[in-house]
Amino acid sequence: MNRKHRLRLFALAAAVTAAALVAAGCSSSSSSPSSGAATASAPGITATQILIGSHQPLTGPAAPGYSEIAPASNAYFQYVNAHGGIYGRKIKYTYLDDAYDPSKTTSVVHQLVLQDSVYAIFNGLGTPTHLSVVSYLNSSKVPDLFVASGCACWNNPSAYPYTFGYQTDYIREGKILGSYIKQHYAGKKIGYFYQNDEFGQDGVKGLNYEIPHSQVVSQQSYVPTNVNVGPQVAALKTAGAQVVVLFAIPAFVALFKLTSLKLSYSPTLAASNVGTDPSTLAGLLEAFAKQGGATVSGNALTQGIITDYYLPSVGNTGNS
Amino acid sequence: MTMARHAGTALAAAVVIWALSVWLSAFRDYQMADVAVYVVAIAGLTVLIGQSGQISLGNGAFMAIGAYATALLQLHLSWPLWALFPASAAIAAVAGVAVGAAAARLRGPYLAGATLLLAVALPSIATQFPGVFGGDQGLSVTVTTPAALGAAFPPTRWLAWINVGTALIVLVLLANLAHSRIGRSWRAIRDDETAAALAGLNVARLRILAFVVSAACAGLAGAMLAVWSSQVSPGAFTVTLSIALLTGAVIGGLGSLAGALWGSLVIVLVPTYVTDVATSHGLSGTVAANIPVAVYGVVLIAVMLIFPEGIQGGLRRFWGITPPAATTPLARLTLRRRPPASEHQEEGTS
Repeated sequence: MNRKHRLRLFALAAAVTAAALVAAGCSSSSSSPSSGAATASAPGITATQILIGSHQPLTGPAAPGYSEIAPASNAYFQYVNAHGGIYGRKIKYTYLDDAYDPSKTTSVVHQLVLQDSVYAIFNGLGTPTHLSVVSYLNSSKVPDLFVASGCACWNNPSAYPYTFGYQTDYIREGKILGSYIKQHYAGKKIGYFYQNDEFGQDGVKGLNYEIPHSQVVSQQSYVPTNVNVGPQVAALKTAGAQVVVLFAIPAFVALFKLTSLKLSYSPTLAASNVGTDPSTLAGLLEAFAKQGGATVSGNALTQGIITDYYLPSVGNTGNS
Repeated sequence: MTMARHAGTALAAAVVIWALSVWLSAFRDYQMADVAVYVVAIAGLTVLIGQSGQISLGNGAFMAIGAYATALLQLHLSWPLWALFPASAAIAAVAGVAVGAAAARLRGPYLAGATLLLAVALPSIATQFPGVFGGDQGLSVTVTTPAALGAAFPPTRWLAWINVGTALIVLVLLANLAHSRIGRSWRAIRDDETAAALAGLNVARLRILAFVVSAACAGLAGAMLAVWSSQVSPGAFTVTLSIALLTGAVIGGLGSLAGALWGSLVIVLVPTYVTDVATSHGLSGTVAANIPVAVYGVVLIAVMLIFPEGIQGGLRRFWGITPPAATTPLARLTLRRRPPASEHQEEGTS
């Protein structure tokens, strides 16, 4: 399996943002097109710098696997800066920890907007977290770019003209996974394991469009603040689910896999791309197993998981 | 007389804060509104602990009750802001009656344990019934700046005005309560229950009343928090919050309303300041995210070593002022049922 897939994904998002920032740079210089570099026209943009901010889960339940995303984006921005920046402006990326807790997200985003005067919020991570600031960002007219969440809620230009999502939304993703399962696992007993918020619920909506209701034997949900998924796994096992579809963040895909191993339950797993970056998942499986006093091969455990992606993986040169 | 003095002080404070809110940046206004939330919650707690001698590790749960009451009343009944605050305080007060009735039978560590249970259990109700409470994501609360202030008026200044104004009203009411017959009765039962009962005080009723006042303050603080962060979610009301309130009360100086302000300033400003310093010194985000917790701990230890009676107690000692009768230095606060006999006399002379 290819490593660094997820990081590539965010590097791509970062690249697109850089392009958007070029556009911002251009528009600010439209009054004097010949000079290229021009005067500042928006908060966070000066003649030498473009300041963007983000809220990221650097600590807390979603940190394993997700805390590395912002440093990866930043690495790309450093690369852009080292090659001259954007019309001479360097990108400065300030990301603050919200611990994947919506109540903290509001306060760190206020800090970024009011105290640091960022030009835009870039890649704010998480559905429940970002939902708590989306109306604030729009009423304050702060560009809200590349939300790191596939909630359909970002696609609402009339209510949220400043918010731009970029991921395939979870309802569509649910339909894609659901249609594959309907074709390849006809007649099997299906179970769901999903995060109980807009992310998981949207995924389930998509799945339900495709998978016949009679085939679904059990639907279990989790909340990110409770890492004990034993009851849910046991319920799916009791219901006899042969295929389990997961709409879960990487930490909970890993917890699900390890808990099901412990209960000697090995259904076929199909999971949203949110939770299946191979290197992240393998690392988490090994780390969590180690905390429990066991040794596993993360790579071996990720084999056979069905998933979907909307960007090619790092080693794939077929598109180049 | 006392009422007039307290109201005068509050008015003077209101003028100073109004000037500050105009002069300071939008983010400082936002922080000011946050500090006001903690002032109300900690003032309620410090009255409970310092005056009536009871302890609560569960005031975060009462804040959750007030906050969810605000969100639900706004969502379903579209109540205006001025009605939401008193309603949330009243709903939390009703919960306070229930808890206080049980708490009146408990002492010291048992009371702490029972209230801690409340703080742990209550917020998870929100995740158990996502249909009503919105699960981990919570519910949103909207605040609109009055159109009369103009379109360019910063929303954070309006937040600061609402919250600081509410906090000042609460402080005046609590200060009067502490100087009233009820306050004196609380201190009497705090110092010696048996003597207070012999003097004709209804100990159980007074203890419950203190709990209700403290719960109402916490509920109101919850409503202010909901308005401030424009949402309510269980993540805001973990046990950590209840502990932070107690910490703020102890750091500031137990029983002192001015201490509630010092405690709130420490709780709100130290973590933000440390994060700023850590990120501006080029520490990686992950390290910067963890440093505030460590520094916060160090600050707590330092304050307790330098000011064992809390910041307000330390300031009083520094200026050589004897504490007013309505407050109690930490040394006299005890979770024991009966403090040493020598300490009763001071109440008699005050």
